[in-house]
Amino acid sequence: MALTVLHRKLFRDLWRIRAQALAISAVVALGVMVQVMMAGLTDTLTVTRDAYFERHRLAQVFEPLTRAPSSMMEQVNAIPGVLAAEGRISGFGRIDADGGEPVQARILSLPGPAGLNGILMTAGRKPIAGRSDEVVLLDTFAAARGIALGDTLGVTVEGRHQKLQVVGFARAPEFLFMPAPGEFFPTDGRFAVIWMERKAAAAVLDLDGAFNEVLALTTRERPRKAVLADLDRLMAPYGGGAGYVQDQQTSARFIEEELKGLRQSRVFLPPIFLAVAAFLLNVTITRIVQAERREIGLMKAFGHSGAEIAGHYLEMALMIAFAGALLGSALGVMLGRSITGLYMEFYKFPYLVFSMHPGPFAGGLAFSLIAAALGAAIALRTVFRLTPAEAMRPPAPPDFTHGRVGFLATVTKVFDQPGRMILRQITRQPVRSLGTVAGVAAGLALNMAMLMIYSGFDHTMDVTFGFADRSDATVSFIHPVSRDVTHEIAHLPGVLEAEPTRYVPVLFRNGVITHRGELTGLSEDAQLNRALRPDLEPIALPAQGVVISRGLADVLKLQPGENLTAEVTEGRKRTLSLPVAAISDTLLGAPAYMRLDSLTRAVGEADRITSVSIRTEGAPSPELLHELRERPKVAGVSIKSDSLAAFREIADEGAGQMRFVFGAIAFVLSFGIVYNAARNAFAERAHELASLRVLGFTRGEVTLILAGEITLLVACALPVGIWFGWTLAKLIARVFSNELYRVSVSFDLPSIATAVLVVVSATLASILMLRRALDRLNMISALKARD
Amino acid sequence: MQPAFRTEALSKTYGEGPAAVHALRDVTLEIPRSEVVVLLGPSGSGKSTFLNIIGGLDRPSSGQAWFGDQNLTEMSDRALTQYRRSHVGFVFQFYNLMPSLTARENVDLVTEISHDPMDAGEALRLVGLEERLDHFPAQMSGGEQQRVAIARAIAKRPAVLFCDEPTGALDSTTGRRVLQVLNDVNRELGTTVLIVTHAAATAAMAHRVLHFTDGQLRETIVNETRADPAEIEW
Repeated sequence: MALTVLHRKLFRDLWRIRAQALAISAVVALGVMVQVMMAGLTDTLTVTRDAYFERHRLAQVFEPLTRAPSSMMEQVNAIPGVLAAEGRISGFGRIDADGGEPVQARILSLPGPAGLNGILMTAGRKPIAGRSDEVVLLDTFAAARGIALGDTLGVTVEGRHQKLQVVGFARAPEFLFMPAPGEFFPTDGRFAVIWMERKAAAAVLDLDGAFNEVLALTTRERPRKAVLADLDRLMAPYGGGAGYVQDQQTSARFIEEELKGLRQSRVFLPPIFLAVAAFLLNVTITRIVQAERREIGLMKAFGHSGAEIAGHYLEMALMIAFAGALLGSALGVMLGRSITGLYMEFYKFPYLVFSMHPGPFAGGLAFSLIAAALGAAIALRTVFRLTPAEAMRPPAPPDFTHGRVGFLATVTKVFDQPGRMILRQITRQPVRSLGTVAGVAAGLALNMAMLMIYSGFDHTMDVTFGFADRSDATVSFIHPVSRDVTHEIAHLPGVLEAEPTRYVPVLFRNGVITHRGELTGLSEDAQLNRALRPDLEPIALPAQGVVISRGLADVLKLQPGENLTAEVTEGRKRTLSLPVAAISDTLLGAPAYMRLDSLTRAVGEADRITSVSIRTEGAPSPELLHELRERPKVAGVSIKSDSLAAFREIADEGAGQMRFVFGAIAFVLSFGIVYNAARNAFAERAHELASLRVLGFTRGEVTLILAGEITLLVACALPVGIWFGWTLAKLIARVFSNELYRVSVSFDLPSIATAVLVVVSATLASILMLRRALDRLNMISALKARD
Repeated sequence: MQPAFRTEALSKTYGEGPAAVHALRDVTLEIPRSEVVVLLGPSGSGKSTFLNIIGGLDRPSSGQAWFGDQNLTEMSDRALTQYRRSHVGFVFQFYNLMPSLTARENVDLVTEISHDPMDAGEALRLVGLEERLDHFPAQMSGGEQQRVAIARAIAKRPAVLFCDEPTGALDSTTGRRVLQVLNDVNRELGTTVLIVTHAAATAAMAHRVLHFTDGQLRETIVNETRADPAEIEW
């Protein structure tokens, strides 16, 4: 019976403080939302990736070679731990679109009977056996270039022009994230894959009766690395020996790095929200318990135990948290789905295996209830201590004698009476004031950190394409060519400058740490492609040794002065030992720079280069592109402005949306805290404020006293939040940086200003809402009320 | 001499229809300047409602009220705030001090917004609290807190001092001390003092006693001789 009445009281109380309860629920909801969203996103991406890789049998071991006879596959299959293996044909060709720049295309034989590195047909059909001119094309490339089924492609392979008919479109897990050779970002129109009948591929690449890449799946019993070692040994005489496992495959690696970042932020983001919610509940329940002393005394006098009464208030906290957790779960699923959609589009997953485990929901719910219970429990200690008689007497005036001497007292004296009231109110409850400051700072920091990450992205683009790589286009070659080609290209129409570059694929090694990458050889006086110091000044490349990027230095744990081992994976496969001369501040990719002459000498191919960077007058002209298409050795031309524009579009779509989401989160968090703080201050001091009105203070003056306290706390929170945001931004940058992309953050003023603006608007909104409550303040009841 | 207050058919009704409560009915009276006036009556008799209206805290449902020649019933909210700020001092049953301010600062709270206030120290000396200037409310007894409230009310040299049950929360000794102070204020500063109370004995110290019942002014008594507050028993 008593419980029913208490419950009725509970619901009425909740209704009475509904605005505040909503604000707290919203903060809880944000925590659970982030938790559920991140969990849904990582789980869905992981499950989708795993399913995609497994269904299409993405190889676990890759072994590129020069050429091996088909009969060698028997021995490959005999390697212990090999579950299935296939020798495929792989090479490069060039698609010559009329008027456009030549695009380098990967040419692959269609998957064999074992079905390794399978493809997913999205339209059309596979080539009919015996039709060597029919091909399947990567669907994203076709879509970007407006190529339709039945269209004919002009393709140059090994110097020979071919006409190939597109009969099908496909995508494959191998090419989820694939930048065109020499580029950093995947751009649909810049990366092509052509699948051909095996015989046809062998014919165009001169590999009849042979293969040049082994794909293998392994059994669970034997580690992949062991299988790879055997395969490397077996294939060494055929130009192999530099194989790699699935984790090192570009596409698989990039998505794993992304998932790692997401998993890490999932750990540190939600607790911030739940801690804030616990704090808000603590302050609010404390305030309600103080205001309801008399009721508590009465209930105790009627025979309710302290535990029963505490339970009543605890239920209130739990209901607020529960409502928030429910709302957060729903929002988390919605937001998770829409963000997952963005990821799906970016990574070109053909389908989505939406995965939502009950774990994150249960976890979010449990953590928010625990946070609420903790927040309330601290407030409820007073309920146990209060005797009925004590509770029914008015409380003594709060004690403000603490600040009478010392520094604070001196500072306080400077202010007028309202100013002193504000200062003493804040310093009398330091824990609560600090909590408010910390909470507001957390909201500011989250938003600011995210904004900084996004503007850091712009910074990366500016540095990379404004200072490090200043070329307008890069002409790459299928096989290394003589350095003299540079001069030839320099004289083509519209070319102002041309510089040679040599890329040599290597396996970097430092002790047991290895990393697949390439050595970049630049000419001594390189202007278009440069290694940079942190101050963006170019680093002069040493005659001996190598300048490595920060990303590579981190992966390999190398310092200047130490030696880097580079095992060349092509040609004569030499092993180089290179002293690290300096570390460059490269943000995109993980290059290792050498002087072109030392590099080509070291690999035993004097003055052979693989690409030429050019600076042109305006955009590369049709005449220039035509001239380049006429040169069979040219593998492709990448035009910087095109790939940059395409990438920005993708980035704005994803990052742009996230910016709004985090802005909204920061607003709700800041508003939740500020509004609660102001509302509690108002409830506790309504009596005082009404007295001031009676004494002749205007509404504006009274609003100022109330707003002053909250404004001062917010003002204190701003520098703390900026510092915290800067720290958080650096932390996030570290978590999300990998050797493919370094997230750089700078102390970016527009990001700070935007984040501060959000907090200030949340504060203003709270003050305006309080102003309405102040207008309704009843002066007469203040006269009669006891405090 | 113009009276301090004058009212004509002042009425106040809360609510509507059958549930309406007539807190004040057609009260017409004059209160001369510089008198101590005690408003007596049981709970709900309308004395506080009357005080609230002429104190500028509430508005009548009908009728008029003048402070000197200013019509209070026609004033805007802003003008009423100005009126309270400049001319009126309030003393409440529960003191209504700011707990975060010391005695002196509580008085300064009002002097800072007044035109020609007395020094906070002087106001506190008048109520006998010169020793407690820098004490916070939490460090003072109820009687002392009420005297701070009186000091705060008189520091701006108000024309009128409104006291709603000023001794209601105090024991008799402390209560007498507070009434003594109110009497001193009236005598030394010429302030009109209106005291609303349940305690009929307080009437003995007044120049004039207004008896309220059921929202109406039943009787006005002018005391020929006034008792010293120290002699009042209740």
